[in-house]
Amino acid sequence: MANQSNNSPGSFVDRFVDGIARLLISKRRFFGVLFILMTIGFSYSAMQTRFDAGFNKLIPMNHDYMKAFLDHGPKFSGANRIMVNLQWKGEGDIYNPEFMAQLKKATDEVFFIPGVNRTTVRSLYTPEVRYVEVTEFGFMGSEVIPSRFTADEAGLSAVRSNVNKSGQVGNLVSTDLKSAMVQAELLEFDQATGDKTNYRAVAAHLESIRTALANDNIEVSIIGFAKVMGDVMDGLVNVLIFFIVAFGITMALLWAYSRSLKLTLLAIAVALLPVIWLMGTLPLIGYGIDPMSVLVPFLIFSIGVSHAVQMTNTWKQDVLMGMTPIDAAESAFRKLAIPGTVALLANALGFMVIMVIDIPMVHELGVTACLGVAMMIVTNKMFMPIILSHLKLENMAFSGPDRPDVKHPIWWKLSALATPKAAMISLACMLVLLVGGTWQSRSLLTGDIGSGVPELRAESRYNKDNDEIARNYQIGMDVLSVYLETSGREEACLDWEVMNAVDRFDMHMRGVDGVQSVRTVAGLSKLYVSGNNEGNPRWRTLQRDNYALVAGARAAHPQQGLSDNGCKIINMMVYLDDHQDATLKHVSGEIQKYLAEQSVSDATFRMAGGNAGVAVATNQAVETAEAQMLTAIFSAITLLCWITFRSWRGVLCVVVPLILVTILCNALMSLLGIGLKVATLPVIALGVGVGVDYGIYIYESLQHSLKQGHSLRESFYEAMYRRGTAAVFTAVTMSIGVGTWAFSALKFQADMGILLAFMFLVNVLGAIFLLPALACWLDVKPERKVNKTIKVETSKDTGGVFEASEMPVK
Amino acid sequence: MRAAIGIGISIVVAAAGIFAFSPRIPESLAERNIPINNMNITSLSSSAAGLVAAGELGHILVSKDDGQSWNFAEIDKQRHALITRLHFQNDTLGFATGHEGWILRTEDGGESWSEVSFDKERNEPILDIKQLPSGRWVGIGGFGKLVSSDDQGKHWNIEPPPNGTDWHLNALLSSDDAQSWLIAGEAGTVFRSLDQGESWEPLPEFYHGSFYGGLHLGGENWLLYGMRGNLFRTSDNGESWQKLDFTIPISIFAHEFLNDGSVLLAGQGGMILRSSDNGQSFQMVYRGGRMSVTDLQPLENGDLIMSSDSGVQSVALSNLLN
Repeated sequence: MANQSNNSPGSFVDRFVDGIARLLISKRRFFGVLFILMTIGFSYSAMQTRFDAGFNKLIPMNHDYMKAFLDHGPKFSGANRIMVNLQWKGEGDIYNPEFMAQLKKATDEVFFIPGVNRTTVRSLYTPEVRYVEVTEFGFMGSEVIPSRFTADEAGLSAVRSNVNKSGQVGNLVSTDLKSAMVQAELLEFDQATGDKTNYRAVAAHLESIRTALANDNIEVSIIGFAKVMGDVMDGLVNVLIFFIVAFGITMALLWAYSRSLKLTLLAIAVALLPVIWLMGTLPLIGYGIDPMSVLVPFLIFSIGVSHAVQMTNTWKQDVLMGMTPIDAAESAFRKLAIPGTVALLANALGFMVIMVIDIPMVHELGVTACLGVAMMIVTNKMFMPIILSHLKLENMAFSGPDRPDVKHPIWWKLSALATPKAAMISLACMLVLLVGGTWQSRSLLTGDIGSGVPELRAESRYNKDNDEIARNYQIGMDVLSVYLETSGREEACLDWEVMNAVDRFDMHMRGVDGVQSVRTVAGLSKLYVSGNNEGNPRWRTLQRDNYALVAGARAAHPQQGLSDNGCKIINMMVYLDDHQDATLKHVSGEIQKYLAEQSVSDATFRMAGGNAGVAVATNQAVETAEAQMLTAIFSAITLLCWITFRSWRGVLCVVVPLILVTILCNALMSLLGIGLKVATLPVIALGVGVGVDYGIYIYESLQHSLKQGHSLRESFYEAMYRRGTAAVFTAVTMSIGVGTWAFSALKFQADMGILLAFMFLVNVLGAIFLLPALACWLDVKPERKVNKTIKVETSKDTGGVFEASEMPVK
Repeated sequence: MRAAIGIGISIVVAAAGIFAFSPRIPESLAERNIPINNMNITSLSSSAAGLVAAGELGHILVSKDDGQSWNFAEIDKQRHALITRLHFQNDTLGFATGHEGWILRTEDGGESWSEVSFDKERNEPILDIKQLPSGRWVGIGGFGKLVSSDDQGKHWNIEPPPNGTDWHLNALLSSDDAQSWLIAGEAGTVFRSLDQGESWEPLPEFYHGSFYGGLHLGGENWLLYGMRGNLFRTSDNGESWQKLDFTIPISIFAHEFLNDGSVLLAGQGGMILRSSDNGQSFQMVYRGGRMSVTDLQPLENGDLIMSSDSGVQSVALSNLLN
């Protein structure tokens, strides 16, 4: 859309473009066949494209926290736990025959999930779940549900009492005694087959357990990483439906715009080409489609459509002027090769700038999108003219509504915005929006907002289940792990200095606001020591003596997830109230402050793991990237505008509305409760990168007309008449393309969709309403009487940008 | 002139942009606090300094406002050993006893403490401490530990355990006139002294489980409390003991007298029991959840402060008395 060309006849660029145009058309058979063969090849390769939930790609790898997390996180179990919760909806509590029978069934079902580590299955029915009581004769303990259990009154009341003694209330049994759950850990690899555990299959199996067990009295909730993965993958596959919807709507709009079935199909087909090429390339370079990069095909398709529209329009105009399709195709290529490519490069700039966000998934998004744009330059600018040269226009397309002698009423009225009075009103409105938007944007929050799993919507089944379990059990969902690495010790967990350091950390963190609870090997060990002493709180301590420390050594069993074998690494788990940025910042800051004052010989503290640790690092990466990204994109845009217009007024006319829209986008995010995060930060850069096109496109045309000596209003009318419809069409098409995402089951896709649609749509409004008003009050004026020869040259449709520097002849 | 307005507006927009995208500081959370509601507090006392609490990692805390806010007391050598008991002789002189033979002494009601004993080689805790009528101070503890001091607790000596026992000695009890004394301990261990604590004789075993404490109920009446709801009462200075009819199987760790003459016991399950018949029978009057109550301290404002393995809590006494 940015229409820029060097028009001096003998310039190198011109000769180059001419040469290619001639080559392309003269060898059109060869190129046509080549492109078709490439398309077939890429289509075949595209079949191999795999979907990838990409959780591990969401981690800012270079962050210190994440280095510690990647070093140690995988050693500690618990991250891959699934929980199947049965909630009793009937009278009374869970201790009734019907519920107990279902719980037993659930336990058996979970046991047979493929990939489950059977030794880790826990429910009231598994023999590992025991109760212990201190008696006058020492410890007494047994299984909570004895093997000879019958669900009669005596049996049930025995179980009730055993459960109370077992300490499982809050863990396997809800605090209100209305629910009980089955927990199990998943293995990385399926033991039977040796394959990587298929999370989608696990999730499907869990769903079948839900169907089998739920009835009028019992509700089943299921949570766990595997279930999230399964749900995300399902959501990702459903995105295909959105693509089809976007495709259909775009096609309808195209037909309404061009009134030619041939041109519609052509534009759609050509816009699809880079998508196919891109999808074919991804498997070759080892990339998959993840929930974020799935955005790229939508974007490429939308941008492709808008460029195809431009090309067909130019070609159509030439054909209407009486050129042969072949000549018109060559001419269309010649006219659009430079401006189209520059516009696409501007888009690519937006994609490239997001790569300052130090997160692999965003990098892949950037690379994928840039690749897509590169392919679009080939398909749109080279393949399209070849097809056009073979095309014959049908009659219907000739009867356009264009009647150049009468002024288009809407655009003419709108052009009043280029007069001082109307411009002032427009600017006043802008200032109101600016003040409101700026104020609102200050309450934008970083990170994930709300409870539950951020990938999925708050009202999703999974997050409802998650809430249910979080409410009724004492199971923390947001954990920040701090690792203590020890060296040169036989058994660090039997070393008082180390254990005391852990113990003090434990207690210090309990006093920090936002911390729900702390779980460390020291805390658990103290509990065991006190348990050894009849549960007496006066013995809940760690003594310096090695022998005394052995009493609590069970806490250091790797299965507890608090230390590895030999306590080389100690995992101190801080459970948080929530994963809001304020909490994350406060708690991680307090930890840092505390650890800075600690020193333990031959041991180092390292932050931070757990989902909250990842969130802290991610939020920091996002916040750092925000400023860099905005500075980069706006500097680049400013430079691009300057090169195009060679006028500071032009730069302001384009950039000022962009700034406003960007502020409004932040305001919208805070209004809708969308946080600034990995998924939404790139949107701003993409929105600016793509949104700037409208401004450049319109101002370039306006400048062109001004140079011919027309008044500002006339010039703006001219710009809108020539390009306004196309700009609005493009904006609408692109907004719809990404707007369909708003219905995605995946929260962050929906957020991205809404915001991108907003950016695309509102940027065109900014270009239409604010650009002329700013031009008016920046005193943009027609040129003085222009030399005849230059006028002839510039009257070629291609914008005469560089003439601005030429001296007009007096 | 016209351009000036346009430029002005552009500058305003740019400034707004810079402001909108400048770092946003989220609302800050509260300052870090002593986790008084989430730490193991084993003992409570009141002194000239106010309310004093102690326990986890050797921390001693002082509150000047009836437990609303707490500050760390000053300790000259922080050993991070669990403090098991606070004992104030008067408003200013007090002791804190802990694991690994740790004893701290204060002369200002608990604002500042100095170490008078610590034995990192032998890890036995000192679990109770009292002054005998002779002026000698005695401490008892785990594995039959017995220590004594003849200089107001400034220096301590290890004594041989009474009767050579190696059971934990949990509580040191004296009659109101300090003539007769009892030591209550692990596995039914009870020692008696009828000579102001100078010599100790073991009582024949009448219960196999552990006693965690006890109290003198006037005259020759005593009560001992222990694990699983076991309450034993004697009316003849320990010659014979009767088990009270109390069926809730909770371990009891603390007791307190109230002004109205009633007695409170407290322990596991956050339960408080009350007797208004001089310890002949007890009723449960409060149930506080999963914590184990370790000590009770009634306040003048009508609240009862409880310490537990999960921190300090308070209840209105009026809730317990009706």
